[in-house]
Amino acid sequence: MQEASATIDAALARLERRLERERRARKEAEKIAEDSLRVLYEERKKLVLLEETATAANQASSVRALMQATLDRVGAYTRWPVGHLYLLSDDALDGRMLSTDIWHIADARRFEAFRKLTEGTNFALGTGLPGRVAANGKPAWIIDLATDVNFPRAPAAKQVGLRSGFAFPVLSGNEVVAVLEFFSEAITEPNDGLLRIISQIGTQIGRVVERKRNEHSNEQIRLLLQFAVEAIYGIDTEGRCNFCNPSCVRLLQYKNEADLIGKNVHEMIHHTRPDGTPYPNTECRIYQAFRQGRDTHVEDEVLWRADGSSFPAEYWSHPVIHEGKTVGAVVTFVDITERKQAQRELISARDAAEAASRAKSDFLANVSHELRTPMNGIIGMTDLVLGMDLPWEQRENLEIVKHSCDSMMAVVDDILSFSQIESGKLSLQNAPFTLRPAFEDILNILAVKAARKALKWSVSISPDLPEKVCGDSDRLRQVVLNLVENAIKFTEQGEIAIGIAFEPGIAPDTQIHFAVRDTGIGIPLDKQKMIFERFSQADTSLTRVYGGTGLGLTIASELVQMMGGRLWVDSAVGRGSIFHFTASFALPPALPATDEPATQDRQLLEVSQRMPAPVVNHPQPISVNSEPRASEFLPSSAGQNTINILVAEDNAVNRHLIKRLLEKRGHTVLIAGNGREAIRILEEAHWNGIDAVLMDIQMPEMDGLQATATIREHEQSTGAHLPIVAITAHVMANDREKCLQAGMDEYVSKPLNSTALFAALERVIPSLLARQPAE
Amino acid sequence: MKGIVFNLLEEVVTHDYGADTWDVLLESAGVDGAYTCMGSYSDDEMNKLVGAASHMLTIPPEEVLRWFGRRSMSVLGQQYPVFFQNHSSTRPFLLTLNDIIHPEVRKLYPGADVPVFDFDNSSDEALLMVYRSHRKLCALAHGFIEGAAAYYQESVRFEQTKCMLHGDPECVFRISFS
Repeated sequence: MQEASATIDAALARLERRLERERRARKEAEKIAEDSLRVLYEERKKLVLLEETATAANQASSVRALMQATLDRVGAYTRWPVGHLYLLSDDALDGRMLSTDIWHIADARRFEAFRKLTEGTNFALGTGLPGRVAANGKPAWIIDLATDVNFPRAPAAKQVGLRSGFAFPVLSGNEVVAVLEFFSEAITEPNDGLLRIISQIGTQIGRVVERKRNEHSNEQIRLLLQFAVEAIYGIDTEGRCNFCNPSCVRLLQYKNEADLIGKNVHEMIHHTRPDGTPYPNTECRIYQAFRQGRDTHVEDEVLWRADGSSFPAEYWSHPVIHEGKTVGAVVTFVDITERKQAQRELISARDAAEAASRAKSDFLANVSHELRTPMNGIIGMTDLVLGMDLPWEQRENLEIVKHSCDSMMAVVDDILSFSQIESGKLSLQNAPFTLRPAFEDILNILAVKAARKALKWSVSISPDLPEKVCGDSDRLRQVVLNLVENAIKFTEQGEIAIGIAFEPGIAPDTQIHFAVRDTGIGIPLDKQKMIFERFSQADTSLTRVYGGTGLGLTIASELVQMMGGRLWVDSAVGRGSIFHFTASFALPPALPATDEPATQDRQLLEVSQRMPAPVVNHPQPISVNSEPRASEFLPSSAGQNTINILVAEDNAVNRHLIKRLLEKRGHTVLIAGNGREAIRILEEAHWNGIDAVLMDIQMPEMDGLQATATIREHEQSTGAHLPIVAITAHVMANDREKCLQAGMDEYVSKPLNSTALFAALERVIPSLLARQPAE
Repeated sequence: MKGIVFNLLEEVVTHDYGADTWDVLLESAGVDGAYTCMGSYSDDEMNKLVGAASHMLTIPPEEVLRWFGRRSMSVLGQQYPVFFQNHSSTRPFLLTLNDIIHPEVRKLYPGADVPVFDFDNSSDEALLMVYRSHRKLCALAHGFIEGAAAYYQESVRFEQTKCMLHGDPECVFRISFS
């Protein structure tokens, strides 16, 4: 019984121990359950925070409202009294964080000082709590603000009792666009769970910020399209419209976008070319943008409106490329009706101006012709009379007539040269000529003029000057004449010194440097530029004293430029001027030596030659040339050297003058009043017995060019060649060309110069040279 | 070690030897014995229990663990059939340890310190399995594998080529089934 009782006791004790174990295990399980619940509660709180922030993010009307809501939610969750937002500086390059006025503050008055300090600070990348978060793109936790090495606001934080802090970034992609920071009043250890969840919040609101930004730029694009003056539409690769702006609808006069969207734009607005022919879309230049993947710009086509009318348009088509594939084009166009109209007006204005300029040019040529024809008579006759024995008084008066005529011809020539340059009609000849005589001829004449004013005269010509060059000797002479005449004109006493130097250029060209120095009145510095301008003289008040058109230097300057050189002046008032010019000439290809009469007068131009005293009654103004004296104008006995010359000229005075000149040399002269008469005379003579023709160009009934053509045509059957020399007051650049083209052999311009006339005759009939009397 | 392991031990001991034996075992091991499955307990308590059983049965502690493993597998097979039913043999079942079974254990028992095994499944003949754990319970693993084979009614040939208890850095099992 005792044994049984002991067994029962032992069993009871075991049962008791077991129950005790069960009880303790249960208590432990309850405690674990309670802890788990607490953890669950914390997790739930975080989830609620996440959810609330997500809701706030989606509902926030602005980024600002979103940030405020986030600050408040996180502040409420952590129960930390201070929260603040920083935004990335607009100047995003430096990554600075700018303090904002967005706060979550439990007690505004208490934290006032800290708030003020924070708002007044900008945090550079890496500096302070927001700076380091911006730099790392990760949350940061400062357990003790007072001892942190990178927390500049520590004293202010201490003052208001803030102890710990954390901050987290708002990330848009990889970019930190904002930083939120929070501060607690108790030292707080980092909370991994919290850090994880705020990272998520940062990412979440970053996405919202990004979306808001996109909405903003989408809005901007919408406004841009809405209010652009240019019409803009998009097409897919089938040519169907996928968007269009109001300007597009308006310019095409449709009611609204729907009229265009989804339709083939080419078929609607681009179906027909400006000339009314169909414009197949296979050739459409708008389509080129996506067919060839390049921009097109067209301004010579029309677009068609809804009502069937068209307007000239300028358009640009630009390919739209999406993920490497062309998906369509964006087209911009404007109505250029007004521009086209203005262009048309401009073109007609330009045409009218050009026509007026041509008319002016023609008028000047005609006036010149009209002036030169009578002048030809006056000068020729005066020359002729001056060649006779005259009483001293009459000779002096006639010399004045001659001088006045020369002056007038100079003016006419100036105006003519100028009008040629103006109208671009002046072209330089490019013929070989000997350089030294070209200078000497003109300088000899000018030496006489200098001598008349008792000016000392010196000429220095560089010995290495090339002998022959190609260019326009007449225009070269014109420039020299102008400059030296000016020097003489403006110098009352002293010296005119001329230097001509050779400056080897780049083969095959050569450059001549010409300078003339005077001791005249000089030109003030401020006037030195002006004198090269049209119609201007250095001092307009001087015009009365020193005559002239004021065109001379302009013409000289233009001519020199055409010759590849330049014209300039060094001058001092009262001391004189030096005018320089350079001109380039091509060297002609080397030719076998020919008889060249031009070098005969070289000895006349030795360096620093002193001219003789003024010759008052010089019988021949061009005496230094090889012109025979009046006494030699006698019929020659040498029969074969006198020829029969037909002169075709409508002007009686000229006819008379030419006849007298030719007859003085013993030639027989036949006269025709126009081209038709000339042909008749030739026919009557059976095209025989006439050795040369002097042919005026402008004549009634049949002009010189036509007559020449008739003669040359006749000669085609006979094989003969009758020398024809043109005589004309037409002095425009292409006159010479025209004459030669018409089949003439030589060309002499009016007013007639006897030297030039005979030189031309000698060139076409070389045998005449042989009879030239010795000087 | 999680309380669940102790609960498992209590269950198999009580089932095979009765509640009194468990009581005696606790007493002789000198442990408290109030285990709740979610709780965490010192590894030492398990060692003491295994030691006491080894003493009582006069068999080596490894054999106690092997028995515990083999026996508890049939309990687990009944309690968590979902992990067993998807397979028809032991080998594919073992291969799901790292990726399915142990992650589920961690979910149910936060803080569970389960081992990670390395497998070499390249040979049809035998599966190579590497065990590393500071607890060095390779014998328990041996029992579990035998228990699993029993579940799938396979016979297993188990060969341990390396053992941490004998100074190796890891334990390596070479297992073939038939």
